[in-house]
Amino acid sequence: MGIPSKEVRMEIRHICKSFPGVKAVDDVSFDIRKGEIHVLIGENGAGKSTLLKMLAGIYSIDAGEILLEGKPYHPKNVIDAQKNGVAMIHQELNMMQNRTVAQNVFVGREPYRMEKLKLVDHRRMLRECREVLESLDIDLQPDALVKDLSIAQQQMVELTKAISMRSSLLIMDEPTSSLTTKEIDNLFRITRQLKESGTSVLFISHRMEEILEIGDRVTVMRDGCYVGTREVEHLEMQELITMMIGRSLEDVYCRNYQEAGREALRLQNLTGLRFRNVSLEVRQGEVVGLAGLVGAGRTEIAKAVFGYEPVEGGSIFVQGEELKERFYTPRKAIQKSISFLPENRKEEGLFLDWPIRSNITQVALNQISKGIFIDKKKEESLSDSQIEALKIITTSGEKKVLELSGGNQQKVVVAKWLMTKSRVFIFDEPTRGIDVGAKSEIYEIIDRLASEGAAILIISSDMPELIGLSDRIYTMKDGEIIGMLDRKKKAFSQEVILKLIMEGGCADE
Amino acid sequence: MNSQRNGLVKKMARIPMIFWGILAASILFGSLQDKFFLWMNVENILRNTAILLIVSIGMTMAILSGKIDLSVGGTMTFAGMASAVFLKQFADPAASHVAAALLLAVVAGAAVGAVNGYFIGVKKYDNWLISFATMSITFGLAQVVTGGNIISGFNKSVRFLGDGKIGAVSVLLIVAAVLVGVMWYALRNTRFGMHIYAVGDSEQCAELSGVWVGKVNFQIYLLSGIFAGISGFLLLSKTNSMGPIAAEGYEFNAIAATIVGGTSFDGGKGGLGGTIFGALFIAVVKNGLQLIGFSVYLQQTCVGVCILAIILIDVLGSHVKRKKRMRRQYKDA
Repeated sequence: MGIPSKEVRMEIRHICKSFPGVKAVDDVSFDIRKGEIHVLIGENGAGKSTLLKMLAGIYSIDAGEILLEGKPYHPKNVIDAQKNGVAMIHQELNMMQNRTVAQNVFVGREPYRMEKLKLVDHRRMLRECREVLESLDIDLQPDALVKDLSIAQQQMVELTKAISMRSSLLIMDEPTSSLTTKEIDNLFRITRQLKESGTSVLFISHRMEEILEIGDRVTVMRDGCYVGTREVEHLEMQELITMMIGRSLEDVYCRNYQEAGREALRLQNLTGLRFRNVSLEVRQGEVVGLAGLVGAGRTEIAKAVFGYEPVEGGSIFVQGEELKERFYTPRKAIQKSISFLPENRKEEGLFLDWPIRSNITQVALNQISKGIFIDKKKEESLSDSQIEALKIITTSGEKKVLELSGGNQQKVVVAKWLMTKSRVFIFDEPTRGIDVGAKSEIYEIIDRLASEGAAILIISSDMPELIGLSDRIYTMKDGEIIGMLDRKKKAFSQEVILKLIMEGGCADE
Repeated sequence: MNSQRNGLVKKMARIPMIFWGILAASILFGSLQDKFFLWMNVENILRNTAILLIVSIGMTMAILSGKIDLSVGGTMTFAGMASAVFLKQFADPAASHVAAALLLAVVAGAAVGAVNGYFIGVKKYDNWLISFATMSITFGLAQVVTGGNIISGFNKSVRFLGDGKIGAVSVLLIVAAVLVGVMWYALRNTRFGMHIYAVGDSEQCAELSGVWVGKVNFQIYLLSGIFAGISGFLLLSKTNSMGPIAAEGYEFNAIAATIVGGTSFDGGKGGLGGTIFGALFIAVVKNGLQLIGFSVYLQQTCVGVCILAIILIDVLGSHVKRKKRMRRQYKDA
């Protein structure tokens, strides 16, 4: 692979990385050329982020090797990687909010005014920062506080930081996922400028249009494995899609569609801090998807319905009844038979140090108590039956949740909420970071819940998943619902997925 | 012209809330009691602020970095006690003995600071628990050293730093001004200072940017211990006595001065400048209440209420600001 006339900057050879229970990156090899923009693409959980983190020195490599400019490259940590000219911009921006742009750009390598006294040269920091900002044509003041900047501007600061390190390889993890079209244009302009000056750029994207617009080559990963690398010039869209998906969707997503029942959840002009005038409804036995970019306000809506995010206006109807609670909290939401499975299970979904058993019975303590005491035997039998029903792989219910793999942890979260006998389930990124096997089991559970008459709202950045599961899909942008697709009116298919992804705006993955 | 005025308004808005608090309290007490504005009383307030301020340097650094040092009161007592016991070896300590005693206090403080720094910075144990443990250990050690007795009655050379004067100015004020001034400048202009803010704002970001977080944390606690040691000696010198609970409560007053001065428990926000005002505010309120005849217990209560009020105002203010910011970002996006 690779055209001889093009010089190689980094060569990745057979690298592997495993986490407990998941092989995240499995024998991946490809190369990155000097002055090229290389796009990495693949479904959620394909191992792209893990790969990037290995290149940037955040994760160690289990097996294989990397050559940088022909020499072996094994970064011990981020600083080591930076010294070798490899800088990474993370998907979740990690900045010092109360510090200025210049202080963020130069943190850890502040220029000295007096070397002996270690006095920092504030003026030089501002001046050099301004120079980099101007050279990139970024309209930002070096002395502005980062917390006053928008997300896109903060990303520009990260970019400035990486560039001021004179990196030869810039790695970006989904840099466009939370940007508007105009901001993306600006980012691409700078990226092209870097390319002209010989810097290599490797980034993850999910939008076909972006690959076509800016990429030189594209590498596809699937389920931790390398699938192939293509020149963008000769790219066949259909081929790329097949490479990404690698299997027909019907095999993974089995849904038994049925006639939707009565209205179970309805939002009317719901307005909060991050969303406006949201109206949607979910009927019994229906799976409804909510699609949108990261930061579009999907999670915030879910949390508002669950009483965990302030509501400023509009109303929520559950089973046709309007919620009139003055102080609406998750506790009350649970009493109204609403379940919410949060996107980051480790922080919001589970008590990691607790045994599986106690996690499962956490929201159903009244079912296992006798007076003020917990009936240990009942807890055991109830939780064991859930462990069995959901095929949670563990030696015992007493095992700490911490020791389980991501997929099994997620199943514990599901088990916990199944205990409540809720009628409305909100799944927020139900399959993020779990392996394919566990994914299809979660899909089965969702399908079973729907056929039993529960109303299900799914938020997912995994486009095929959303399309494979949903009866209807609402699309969101900047805190507002901009459209609704119905499977009955127009079948969801690979073509529809492709169209959605290509047109952007509706989906980020 | 207009922009100039806007600049002035902005500058005014940047003056910490606590400055206005001090001004208001001073005017209130001054109008109630003529004695309040007498130089003697003002000097008294400043002298009462001085030692607390030196301890608060370390506390400010710890809180700026998103942590806390509960052990400063114990360290002060322990270091002061060590000096007192040492000085009592001599019938009439000379200046060189006093210098040695001060050095002993610094070393004692540095030792406690190093222990804190080792466990918190190097071992990455929880800073509350570790400094809580060393607080207990140091208070205990101070008792062991003297068998629980109070040591008092020192000569003039011992009392010089805490009670003496150069011309019309109290030596204690000069010492405090120099230490605080140097550290104020250092926090704003050295890499170490920058890194304290960086660690406090986002330890992860600092680490990922190549800041040696463990070392910064170690240095913070080491310095905090040293300043507590110096304060312990100054307390001995000022009060002419040292008891096993002499510096009890200094840790809480130092936290109060820091927080009231606008340094946030979230870390990365605030600075030593605010702490100066914070310490001054507490001293002003206590002094004023004393002058108008409040009991000591009531003074403590009033100080607590003032702290609560200032924190509430601050919290409300930042809440409003955060909401505004979220809206703005939302509009940009």
